[in-house]
Parts: sequence; structure tokens; C-alpha cells
Amino acid sequence: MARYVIRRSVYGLVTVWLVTVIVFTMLRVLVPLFYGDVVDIMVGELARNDSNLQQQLRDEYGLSDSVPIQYVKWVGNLVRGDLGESLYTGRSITHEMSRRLPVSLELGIIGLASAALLAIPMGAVAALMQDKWPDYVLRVYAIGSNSVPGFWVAILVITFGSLWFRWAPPLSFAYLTQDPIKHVKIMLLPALLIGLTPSGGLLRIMRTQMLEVLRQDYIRTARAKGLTERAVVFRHAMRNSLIPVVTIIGLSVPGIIAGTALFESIFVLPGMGQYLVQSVGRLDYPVIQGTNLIFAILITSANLAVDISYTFLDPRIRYR
Amino acid sequence: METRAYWTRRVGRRSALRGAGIGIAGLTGAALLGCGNKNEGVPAVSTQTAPVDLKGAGAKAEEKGILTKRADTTGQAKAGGILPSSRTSDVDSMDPLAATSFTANAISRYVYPQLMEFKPGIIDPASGEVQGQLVEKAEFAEPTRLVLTLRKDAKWDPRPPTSSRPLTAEDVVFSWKKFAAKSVSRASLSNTASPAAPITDISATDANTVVVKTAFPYGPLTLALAYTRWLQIMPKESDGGYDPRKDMRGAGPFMLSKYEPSVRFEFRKNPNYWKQGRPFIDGIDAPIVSEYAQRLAQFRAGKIYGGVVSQEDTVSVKKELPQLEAYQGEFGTATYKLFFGLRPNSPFRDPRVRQATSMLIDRDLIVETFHNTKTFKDAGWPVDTRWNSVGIACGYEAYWLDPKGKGLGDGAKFFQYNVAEAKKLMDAAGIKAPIETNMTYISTAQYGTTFPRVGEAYRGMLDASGLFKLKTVNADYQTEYLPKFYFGKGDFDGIAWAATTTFPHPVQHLLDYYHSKGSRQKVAFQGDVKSIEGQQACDDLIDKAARSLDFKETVSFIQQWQREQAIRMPMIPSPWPSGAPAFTLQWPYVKNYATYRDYLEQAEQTAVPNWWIDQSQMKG
Repeated sequence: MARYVIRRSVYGLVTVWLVTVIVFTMLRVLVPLFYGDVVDIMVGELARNDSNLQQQLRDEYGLSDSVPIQYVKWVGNLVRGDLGESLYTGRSITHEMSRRLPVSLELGIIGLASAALLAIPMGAVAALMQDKWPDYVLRVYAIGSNSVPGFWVAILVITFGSLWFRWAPPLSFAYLTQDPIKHVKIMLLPALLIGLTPSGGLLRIMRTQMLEVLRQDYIRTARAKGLTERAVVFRHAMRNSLIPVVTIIGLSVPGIIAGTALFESIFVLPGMGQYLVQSVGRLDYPVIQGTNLIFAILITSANLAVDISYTFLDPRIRYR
Repeated sequence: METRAYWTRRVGRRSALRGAGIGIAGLTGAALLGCGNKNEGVPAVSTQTAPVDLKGAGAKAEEKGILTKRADTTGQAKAGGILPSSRTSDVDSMDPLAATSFTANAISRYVYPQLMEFKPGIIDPASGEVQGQLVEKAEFAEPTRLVLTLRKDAKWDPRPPTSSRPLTAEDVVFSWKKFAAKSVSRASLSNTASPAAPITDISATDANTVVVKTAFPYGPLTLALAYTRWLQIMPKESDGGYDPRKDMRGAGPFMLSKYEPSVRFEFRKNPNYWKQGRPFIDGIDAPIVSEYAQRLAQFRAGKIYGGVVSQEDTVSVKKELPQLEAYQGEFGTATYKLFFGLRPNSPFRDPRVRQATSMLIDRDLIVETFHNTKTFKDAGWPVDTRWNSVGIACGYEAYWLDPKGKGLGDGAKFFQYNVAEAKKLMDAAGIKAPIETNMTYISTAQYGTTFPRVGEAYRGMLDASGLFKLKTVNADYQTEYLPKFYFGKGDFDGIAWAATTTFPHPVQHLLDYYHSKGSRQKVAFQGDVKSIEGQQACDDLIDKAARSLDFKETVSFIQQWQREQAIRMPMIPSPWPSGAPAFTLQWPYVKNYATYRDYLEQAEQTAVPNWWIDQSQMKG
């Protein structure tokens, strides 16, 4: 197991390094070739004809160096723990990430947890009561929540909340360590709404897996041994049905973190999603590189964590 | 107020100078600095926004309880309270002189001062006149040399590193040098960056005197110094003492007390602000709420005071919350336009084709559709509409010639929707079959979401006439639209649809868009003045208007130019987005909100300090 984890970690590091090379090359070679570079975006219409100013900005941002030298400089700073500064705001990327990543992680994790807490029992109930009315109701919920975007539901909640009750969500953000009550008040609604859409998909997967597992020989054997239905369902059926569900949850973490941009924007939260979207829109090279690096690390780590979790869910799985 | 009293005194001095006949050509232009020259019966400076007819339809609406009567409640003002506001987007940087977009200026206006300011209108719309802000005394020593004496009571932010240091001429020179070296707008002012720009140098002669030297006499000079998107004054400590991209140390009415990126700004009253007793409010809290539904919800709940409700929702929100106050604004100063490919074989080199194209635009329908005027009319709100003239937006009251009136002369008929006459013009130009060409615009949101819809409407109108068969080309903004069309100087095929940037004075718009040497010109193929008939005369008149220091003369030149260009129709002015004044809704707990009326985005300095909060009416 330890050897497996070490081997996978090395592969993970190589993957992350490749991601940095690909992102760097795309940003600083391919995009400028076909679209324009960050300075073109910066000057826009205003200084389109001011080539001296454009050159001055390229020199200031180190973009006049060759791309390999720019990469070496970036990696050099990286190994010193410095992700650089935003070309626009001058703010340290490391600092920005340290305040934004926890917000997005919290949103994403609470969202996924609420989705899982809703979907797993509902999926199991739907499977156990296949083709009866609770199954139909839960399947309608699954399709409904899957097809309605969470941000749209968020807008409805806000709009009708203000229209009917003159209520609007709080806008003044506080970190958990600063003011826990205020923090919960502002984070709870978006986190729950984020979990709404994935809960539908998870419910359907859980239901399908449960149906498949319930038809397995070992379930028949368990029942034949005289185990209670509760033990059959919880100890044998549900546990085995969870493997694909866990896989999907694990792989959803980075996507959910990156995909919280709309919720962050609606609820005025300082998360990673907005940061990434803004930086892509204006080609803020260091920010895009930094966020992609973090996401690459998160994705490879999540993959590894999911693989390791299989050993706990299914004793037949062993890694060497 | 101190400044006002000064200008009143200055009138006598100016009159004396003229009486003495000191013989400096254009020195009567010194009058352009006075805001108190009502004695002379001529507006001191040359931009004027359009007044809204409150005695007409507006007054009736007030009687019905739709619009709120503007009132000056300064006498009852109580100091204190934090204004709950909002902003729709974050800033790229906080440095107004080195930022690469105007997002910095949107908040720096609260904090950094300017040499001049646009005088706010009180109840009536702002006239566009300028008065001193940091400047206490201004005098043209020569037509190309403006001497400015700074006020002595202006101090910087009390926090380090400025620590209440007096603002001096050295700060002004520092700001100018930084602007000339780093600003994306430097080509509009700095002659070093662009020979078409006026200012060659700003230098200090002592701690409180600066001299602005220009390469040529330049009428809108003081307006340029008042424009918040250009030369804001920053302390010299911003060079190393603090990082101006992340923080601000100003001398304006407010200090930036807290900034959380992507979340909120908090401003607090600057105790060093030179205007005694202002601002009334203790500060402003402005969360960054980019989602309209959230802003509207916050507004409905009374957590944001105003400036939120879209024109589409205004009538319904007012019905839902009748206690809200409603105000009508002024006509706009933007002239978006349709412009033409001018390659040697282009049909649009013939003025008759351009005139015919203009006559295929149903301007009233565009205004009704995109300004939502029918909804307002049906609900009994006062609606007034106008069309922009060639190059001059209908909001520039003093300059604008109404295409529906007689002032524009023979060219006025080319503004009328008349397909039959357009066909005759096309026939006369030898065009027998529909012109098959491209209609190019951007479909992305750089100019807002309405912009592409208006472009599509124009394409539909031209196609519906049977005189065009247009193919819509949605060009990529960065790689195609800007280089090939917007800055293409006519080197493309077909018609394109463009938004325009804002300038403090209409003549600057003409210089930039209609002059063959203008940086955004779309009227002379590759800048060749001889490529299109009549361009030389067009350039000459713009030059005369820009160099005149006499208000009446400038107006006369610009009106003459409009009459001539209405016939040439080098570009087709769009009646949207300036064709109807917008309405705003706000909670009644902010007093003087609609009383002090700003010109060109200067509310933070000239209006907001006069707002006060009536705590008795504030919710929560």
C-alpha cells in the first residue's frame, strides 16, 4: 500500500509538472499567437495605438524575455513558495489563494456533503421501493434537481424572498474564525444550493447501483443466512453500492470548487471560482498559472484519495 | 462656498483685463474658467447637458405621485450615518494614473482629487461648467500657458505615509509625469504621447503654483483637467511609500478604509477634506454585487439605497413599492454609430449611398424599443425622446442641432425614415441591385448586452428595405473587431456598428472620431484626407472648434460642422443609447440624492458629499 501511494504520488507530481508546462505554453505562446497577449487585453481600445506604452508594460511584466526564461523564472519563484503577483492588481497570488481557497473548499465540501447526505439514503430508498410511489417521487426529484441549475434556484430564492418577505441574504462576509454565526448565516444557503444539482445525479447512481447489488448472489446468500433486512441493506448492499458514488464525489471536488464562481458572484463570497474566471477573462498569466497549479494538485490528490478509499469500502481491493 | 465666492470675484478681474485691451489673442477664453459669469450672460465653459422638462410632462407626473420633486434639504441636513451602497464590479487596480482600465477611476473618485471639477447642478441639471477643485485661481497668461494657483488648505490622508501633509504643486507635477508616462489615456492629453494632444508640460513655479503649457490653444483644456478618467492628483508618496495598486491615500471627501477583493469597499469620511462640514455622511459601505437579481433583492429589502433598478423593471418596482422616490435623468452624451468600409471600390464612398443608408433607419422605433419608452408612457410616466445629430449627442444642449428641427438645414432630411427617397438616392448613385455586403459588430458583452441587439435591429432595417442583402459578421473583439474594423480606418468591406468612448467635451469626440488624424477615425481611408470628398473641410472646422477659446465661437463652429456633415453623413449616428433620459428609483432615506446633479461621473466628489441620511426613515 505504501509503495503504491508513493508511486502514485510521483506520477501525480509528473502530471502536475506537465500541467504547468502545458498551461504556460498555451498562455504565453499559443494564445498570443491567435488572440493577443495580456498587454493587448489590458490596453484594449484605450491605448491600442500607443505602441510605446505597450512595450513599456511588456518590459515591466517580464514578457519581453523568451518564454523558456519566463518559465524558469516562474518555477524559480515557485520553489521558493511564491506564486507571483497579479499583473493587474499587484496582489500576491499566494495570499489571495490562502483567503479564497478555504471559502471555495468549504462551499464545495458542504455542498457535496449535503448532496451525498440527501442522495445516498434517497437512492437506497428508491431502489428498495422500486416502481412504487416513493420511487417515482424520488426519481422525479432526481431528474428535476439535475435539470435545474442551482444558480437559477438561488436567484429564485433571492428574488421571491425579497418580493414576498422583504428578505435578502447578508452581504458582509466573515470568516469562520472571525465570526462563526455570521459565517454560517452567509455560507449555509449557497452551500446547500450548490449541493442541489449533484444530489439528483448521485441519487440516480445510488439507486442504479443498489438495484444491481440487490440482485447479486451474495445478497441472496445473506438473506438465506437469516440476516435481518436492515443488516442486508446497510452492511452488504449499501456499502457495495457506494464505490461508484464515492468515485463521482471524489472527482467532483475540484469541479465544484472551480464551479462555485456563479454562487460566489450571486452571494458575494471571496472564493476561487470568481478569481479564476476573472483572471481567465483578462489573461492574468500568473493567476491562471497559479490557480491551474492548485487545481492540478487538488485533482491528482482527489484521484489518489478516491482510489485509497476503495480499500475501505471493498475489502477485495488491494494495492501493491 | 469658498470657491464660488472666488469665481464671482474673478469676473471683475477678467472684465478689467479685457477692458485694458492687453491684446492676447483669445484671452477672452479666460472666461472659460469662470463659473460665476452669469453677469456676462454666456455659459463659461462649453459643455452643457440637456435639461429635463420638469415643468411639462415631468410636473404632471409629479402631481400623479410618479416622479418626486427635487428639493434642496441642505438646511435640514444631519451629519452621520453610513450609506448602504453597492458596486457592480471589482477594480483591476486602484491606481487611476497607471491602471489599464477605468475601473480604478470608479472608486478613486471618492478619494483622489482633481485640479478642476464640473460644477454640479442644484435641482437643475449640471451645465457642464467647470470650477476649481484644488485650483483656487486660474489664468491664461498666454493662450498656450495656463497658470493655476492651488488652494492651501488641501491636505492628504491623515494615515501614513501621507500623514496630513499639505498638497502641493510637487504632487501635481508628480501626477502629471506619471500620467504622461503610464496612463492608457495619455494620448488624449500628453503631446509627447500624441502630437494631437494639447499638454506639453506641467511644471511648478512654487509650492502652490503650477503652469500648464500646451502645444496649441486648446478650448476644452480646463474640462480635460476636470475629467475624472484622466488627471487625478495623487501624492508623491504613492511612488514607493505605499502601493497605489492596492491602497489609496487621497485628499478627496472620503478615505478608503477597507477593501476585500471581490467582496466589498468601505469608505469613511476624510477628516482632512477642505470643504468644511462635508461630507454629511460618515461613510459608504459598498459590497460588490455583480448579480442583478441580488442587487434588486437587496434594494427591495432596503439594504441598498438606490442606483439598482433597470429601466425594464422601474415601473413594476415603483408600483410594488410606492414609497420609493423616482427621478428622471438627463439625455446622454454618447453617440454610437454605424460606420463604413471605405476601400477604393466601396459604394459607401458615394455620399448618396451613406445618406440613403441613414434614411433606412427608423430612429423612433429604435428609441421606443431600446429605451423601453412605451412601457413608461403606458404607465403615465413622462417620456421625452431625441435623436443624436452627426457627431453631437443630444445631451450636449448648447451644441446639438435637433435633426427633427430646422437648425440642421438640408441634412435633416437624411435623418428621416424614408425608404422611397432612399431608393431614389441609390438609383442616382447608380446602384440598381441590393448591396450585398457584411454587417459587422461584436456579439460579446464588451459594450453591454443591448449593443448586439441594436446592431441586429439595424441590420434588419437595412435588409427590410430591399436595398441591402447583409450578412451578419460577429467579429471577435480582440483579434478582429478592434484591429480590422474599429481601428481599421475604413479598410474593410461593408458596414460596422460601433460604441464610442466618453470625452469631457464634444469637440474631443469630433477630433478623435471624425478628424482624418484622429486615433479612432472612421471617415478617411487609411487617414488619407483626400480619399473621401469633403474631408479636408471637415478636419479644418474641427480644428477651428478645438482651438477656439471662445464659447460662442466654438458653438458656432460645431453647429456649422453638423450642418455640413449631416449632408456628407460620414457615419450614421445612432439614437440609442442617448435617445431618452433614464429613470432612477431610490429609498427616501437618502436626502439631496437627486438635488445635486453631476456631470460626467463626478457625483462622488460633487454630489455625494452633499447627501445626508434621514435616520428616521432608514430601515433596519
